Amino acid sequence: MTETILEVRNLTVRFGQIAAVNDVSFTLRRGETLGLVGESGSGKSSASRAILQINRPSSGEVRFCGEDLVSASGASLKALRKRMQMVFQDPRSSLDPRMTVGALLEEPLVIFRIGDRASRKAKVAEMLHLVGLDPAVASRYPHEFSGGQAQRIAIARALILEPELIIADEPVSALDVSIQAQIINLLVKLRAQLNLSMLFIAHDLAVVRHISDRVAVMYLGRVVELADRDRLYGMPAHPYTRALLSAVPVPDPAVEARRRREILSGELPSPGRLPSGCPFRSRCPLHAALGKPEICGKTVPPLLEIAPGQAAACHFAGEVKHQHHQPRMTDEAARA
Amino acid sequence: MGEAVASSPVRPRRRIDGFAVLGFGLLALLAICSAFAPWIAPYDPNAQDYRAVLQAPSAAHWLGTDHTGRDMLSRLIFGTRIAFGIGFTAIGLAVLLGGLLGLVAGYTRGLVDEGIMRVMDALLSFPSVLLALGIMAALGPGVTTIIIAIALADMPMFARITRSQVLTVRERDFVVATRALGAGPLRIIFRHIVPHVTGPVAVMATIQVGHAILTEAALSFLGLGIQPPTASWGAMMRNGFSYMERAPWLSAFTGLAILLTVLALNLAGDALRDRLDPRGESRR
Repeated sequence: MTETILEVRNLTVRFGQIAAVNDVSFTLRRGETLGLVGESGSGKSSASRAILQINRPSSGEVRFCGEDLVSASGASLKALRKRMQMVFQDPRSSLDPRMTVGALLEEPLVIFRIGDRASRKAKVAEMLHLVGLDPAVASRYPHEFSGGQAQRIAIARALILEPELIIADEPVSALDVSIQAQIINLLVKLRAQLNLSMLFIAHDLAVVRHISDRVAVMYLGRVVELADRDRLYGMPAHPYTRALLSAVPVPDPAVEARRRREILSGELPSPGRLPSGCPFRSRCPLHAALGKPEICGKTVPPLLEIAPGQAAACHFAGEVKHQHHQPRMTDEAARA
Repeated sequence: MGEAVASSPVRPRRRIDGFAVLGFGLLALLAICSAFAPWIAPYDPNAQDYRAVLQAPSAAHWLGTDHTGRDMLSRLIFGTRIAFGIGFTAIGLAVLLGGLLGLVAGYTRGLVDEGIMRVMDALLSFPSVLLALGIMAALGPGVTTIIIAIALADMPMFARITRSQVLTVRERDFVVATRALGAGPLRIIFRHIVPHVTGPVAVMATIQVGHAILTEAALSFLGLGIQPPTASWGAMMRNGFSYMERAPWLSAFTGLAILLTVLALNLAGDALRDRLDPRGESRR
């Protein structure tokens, strides 16, 4: 089996009474890309920041190459940070507007006292070239670039220390759709070239599909489904995953016309007042269809393996698959 | 056709702001007066001439003379040295002390922040002239004490503005990104936070220099500041006040000098704010 690079065990992040991340566990193998999907407020970003120890987790374990990050501090944490880097959502805010591109890219090398001035400059030029920019842009400021170009700069900055793990927190969400594909393709290219492991966060299943080997779906701070990519998109087991997938448009008019959309009822509950038992219960179409079974309100469903390479946190994950192939009345009516 | 030009990356030409020109122009003039006072002033500011006391403005004495026959123009020109010297030194000190305390409070937060800011609040709860007055009373009159008094009275304001800037900047993504990179607190504070704090502080400081000049004048007017015979605008005001009916120009010209100086500093501060705000959000 391939080596595990990142292991997250029962990670919980609390802000006051609210658990932004609740008992999240997953592993990432070397060279693998795990997509982490969920709507705003589902805890994706909080989880990523807790993994990198930007905000310390309230409880749980994070192991990077077997080393415990939560208890690491000072010099040992700094040394580990060199090997894992982050790409942020909006490059215009993650790049200091008062520094030139050259200074921004050089800064990680300065922090870790790598090389002398000349060799650092050479490395900066090399990185700019690697992400598809002219090394001459080093003397310019971030606001002189388009969003896509700025994200390339941010990626170059994250990669200049030659990290093993990249956590990309919605790296394309702030970009135009036409640019999104370019940045994703760049990340795919660099991942292969530099043998990177990646945690790729997005709120859009379509974006994650192209880049991920496995996908984790988060809802209200918990992972509700974690599966191999093809498995998750082909046979989603959790009713929430199904609802998300049904919202993705299909680029084929014939299929699109027959696409059945699962509209979730109600609002995302306030994280301060979660429903008892399963957090998805209040909006779950399956819960309603099954006549509101008692167990859903009593116990939080654990994330259990329901098939090889697929785990879901639903008491009735089996029923979902069964139901999946049953066309509904409304669809019949639409087709007629 | 014309619209395509708008998207060109070339910076739009800045509008020339008349008020800014006026502000900086006046300031430059006053700075020259202050620097070259001995060469510009037509008379020795402290030379008394009892044959020409309380004279109205004339060709010999453009702005008249005071009760001991000293040339008002020369005294006003030398007065800029005191005004600027005290204004800039006191505010410089206030920025340094207040800025440092604000940085520490905003960056560390928690108990340190709480401790520093409560002391600042206590200082801020006194009107600044009153606070300066108290400090002057305790330390005795003189140039050094007046500088200390004004610096201490203005320090809390700079601590506050710095702290509030630090609090917003420290949460911005580029600071978080630098922390994730493994940078230490000193690098984060001085390379990434301080450059974003200086703008608002510089604007505030420029305006506060004018305020400090007013405070110095007020203290000297009350007899607590600069002691005679040194040419201080406040002391000259007080002096002119005694001869208000016989020689109103004494107070009038002194008041005008103070007014123009404070106006110049305020206009310069406004212009600086417009200039430093890259998106021009606070444009009038």
